[in-house]
Amino acid sequence: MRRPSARYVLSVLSVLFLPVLAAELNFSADVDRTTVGLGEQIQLTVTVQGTNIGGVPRPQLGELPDFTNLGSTSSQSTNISFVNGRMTQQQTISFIYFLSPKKVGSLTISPATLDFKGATYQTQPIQVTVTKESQAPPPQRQQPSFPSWDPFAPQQSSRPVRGSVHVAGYADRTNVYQGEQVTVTYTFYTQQQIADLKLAEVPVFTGFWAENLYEAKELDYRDRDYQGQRYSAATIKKVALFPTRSGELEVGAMKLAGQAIRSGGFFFQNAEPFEVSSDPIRITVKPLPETGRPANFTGGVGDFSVKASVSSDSSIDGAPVNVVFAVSGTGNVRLVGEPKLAGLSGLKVLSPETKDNIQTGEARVSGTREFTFPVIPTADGKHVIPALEFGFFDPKSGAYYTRTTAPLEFIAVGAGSAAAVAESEQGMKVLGSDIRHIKESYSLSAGSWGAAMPWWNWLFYALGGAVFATGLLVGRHRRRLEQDSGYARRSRSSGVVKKRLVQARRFLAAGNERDFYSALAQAITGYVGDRFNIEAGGMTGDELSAELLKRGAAAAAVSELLELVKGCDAARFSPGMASCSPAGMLERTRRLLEQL
Amino acid sequence: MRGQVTKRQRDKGIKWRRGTFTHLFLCCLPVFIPVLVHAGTSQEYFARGNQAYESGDYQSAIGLYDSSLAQAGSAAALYNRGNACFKSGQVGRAIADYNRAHVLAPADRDITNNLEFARQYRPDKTTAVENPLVRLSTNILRVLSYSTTRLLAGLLFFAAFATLALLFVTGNRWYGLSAIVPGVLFLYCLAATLSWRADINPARAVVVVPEVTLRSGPGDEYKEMVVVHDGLEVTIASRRANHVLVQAPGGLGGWTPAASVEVIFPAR
Repeated sequence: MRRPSARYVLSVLSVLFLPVLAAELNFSADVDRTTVGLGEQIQLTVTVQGTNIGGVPRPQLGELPDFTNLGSTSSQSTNISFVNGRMTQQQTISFIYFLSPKKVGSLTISPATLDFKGATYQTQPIQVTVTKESQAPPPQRQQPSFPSWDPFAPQQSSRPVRGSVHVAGYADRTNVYQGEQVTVTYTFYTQQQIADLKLAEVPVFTGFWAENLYEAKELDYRDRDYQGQRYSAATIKKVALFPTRSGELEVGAMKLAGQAIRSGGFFFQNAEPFEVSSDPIRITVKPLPETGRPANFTGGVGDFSVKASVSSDSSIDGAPVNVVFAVSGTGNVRLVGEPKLAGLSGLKVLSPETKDNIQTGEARVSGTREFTFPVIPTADGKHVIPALEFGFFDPKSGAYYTRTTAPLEFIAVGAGSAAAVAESEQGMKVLGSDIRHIKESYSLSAGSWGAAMPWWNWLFYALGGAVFATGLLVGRHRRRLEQDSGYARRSRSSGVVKKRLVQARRFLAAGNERDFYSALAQAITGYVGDRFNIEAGGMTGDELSAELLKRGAAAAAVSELLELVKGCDAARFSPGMASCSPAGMLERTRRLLEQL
Repeated sequence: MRGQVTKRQRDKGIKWRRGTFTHLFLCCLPVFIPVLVHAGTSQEYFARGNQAYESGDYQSAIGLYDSSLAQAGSAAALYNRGNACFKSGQVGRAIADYNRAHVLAPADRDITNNLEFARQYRPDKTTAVENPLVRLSTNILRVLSYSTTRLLAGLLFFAAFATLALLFVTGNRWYGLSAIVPGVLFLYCLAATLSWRADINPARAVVVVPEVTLRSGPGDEYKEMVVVHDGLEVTIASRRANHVLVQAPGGLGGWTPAASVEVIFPAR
């Protein structure tokens, strides 16, 4: 079998992969119509479409000697999709040019070129046929109400056409700021019966952005005065013009052609062709003042309000959240530039998609321009988009104003995965996220959330309270001992008297009666002194009796006490005079002390 | 030979200690045996549940984890059962188990991560953003588990009041200053315990059916109020026969069959 040659393999590979490479960027051009009347406007759209084409430059238009470039704009849209966890951004950037042909014939729009990432792309040339006559649908004929067709009124039809048919352009103001609306109305005046009226030359609005307010599909005649005479007048076109530059600008003239019906007798009539043109209108456009121009001014002239919102309050796995900034109001809505939404930490902001919703009423242009920024979180957590500011110029007051939106916020979870995919095509790729795996070890905290507190845990509270109360009482007792001598003596009296009685018993057991009675007397007087906080040792019997009775002691007890003390003294100093045995004295003393 | 310990005395002391420990062990054995047997059985179910989970049989794994938890509570078993529920599409039951496991092991990052992850998967998303200060204070109070804070609160209460008692008895101001530390820690543990008690609320429940309609009354004949989905955490405000009145975050609520919600921390 013959092996395929290297050239053959390369050819096959190139056939397989070239379309893939080519598909990364599509560059094309298109026009809204290929046949256009002289003086009319044609829209050339150059489209760049592809993946990851951020930072693509503006295409270079070829030489256009047969066209006048009236102005340009651009729009952008981003389509983000996730396929198998991988994010793909498909961007489409459209550069729109408004061209006006300079001559009649078959004209060519030269190819546009684009240099991007080292490659050069080129569109196909486009052929456009330019006719002398307007390609706009002609207004339908309607007989003027005045003068009406009346076969018996030959004096009307006998008028010369010249001087009885006019077209006039009227601007509501001729001295405006750049970007301020000028409303121009083209009106057809006639004193003749008209047939086959058509637009011979469309007015050119070089240096203006034009928004059609009204275009007659059917002429609606009304009686009006023009240059001191009575005419039937019909509005042909009403257009809102926004100057895109300052200086002296000219609004082009409108040329109409038609036939005036002239009577040739009772049953005959003939038609006389005519062509009328309006005068051009000169508009003085003042530049916007430099003084007071805010940094956030993006070209808005009029009266606007702003609003911002997010499409979702949360982003999961790096899914983009759309931040929508809407400018609403009256003025040059279509010329408002995008606000700055950059420098946000943890967020990647893509180029916005612009969407216009314009309402063209009878007089003013109003509407909403929405900028939708796809925002991709690159970090988890709560993201706050600070208040967006929008500056605009109000021509009525001649001053700049700034409107501010409310801050926005949303929460991102699992943001790292998509961000990693979006940021790098090589290296580590996070393809998804999942819950964390199960535990292998059973040893993680065991127990139950609803279990009652164990009884011994309550013991800590009980013990703590008891210890505290005890400490409180002990502390109080200690302080009182230190501060109150009477309390201290009273507190110690029981212990002291017990010791003395024990000592007395020892003396008695040892047969030392003299010392026994001495210790007994000391025990009695010492206890009484401590108990009642008096110096009983230095008192006579009467003094002691009086003091004890004064302090509330029972009279019988006092009497017994004095008797015991006397008995002890008698036994000490006159042993034979003892009236009672030592044991009896000890028992009497014990009873007395209990009584006291 | 005062001051010297003879070999006989030393041997006798060792024997006494050995005998004491043996005696204590034998005394406590009846207490530990049921625990050891339970732990062994519970661990066995746990291990078998893990095997079923690894093989992708999540329903069997849930049953085995149920058996393990019926024997003894464990944060690991609750967490693993939450994983098995999540893998089998039961987001609400998974959220309930992760909540329970979080109470037992608040420091475990796997549990908190999976709880947050599961919450992102529920269809009903809450728009309320938690106050960062409330979140911070809650995180500070939930460093220790509920049982640990309860135990520490008792110990610190005792320590603080015993130290104060020493202040009263001795009059030494250093005891008063020393009481501040256990006192403050006791207040922290008390606040943490109260915080956990607010979390372990028997009124907390989670929707465990794919979709259920909340009605204006306890029955299918009442007007439909709002539709909620699996995983939405609600609060039970009232109970009737077979029906409960639930309130969702944001104030919406209504009556629903009791079987459509699962109480996260049932009263015991």
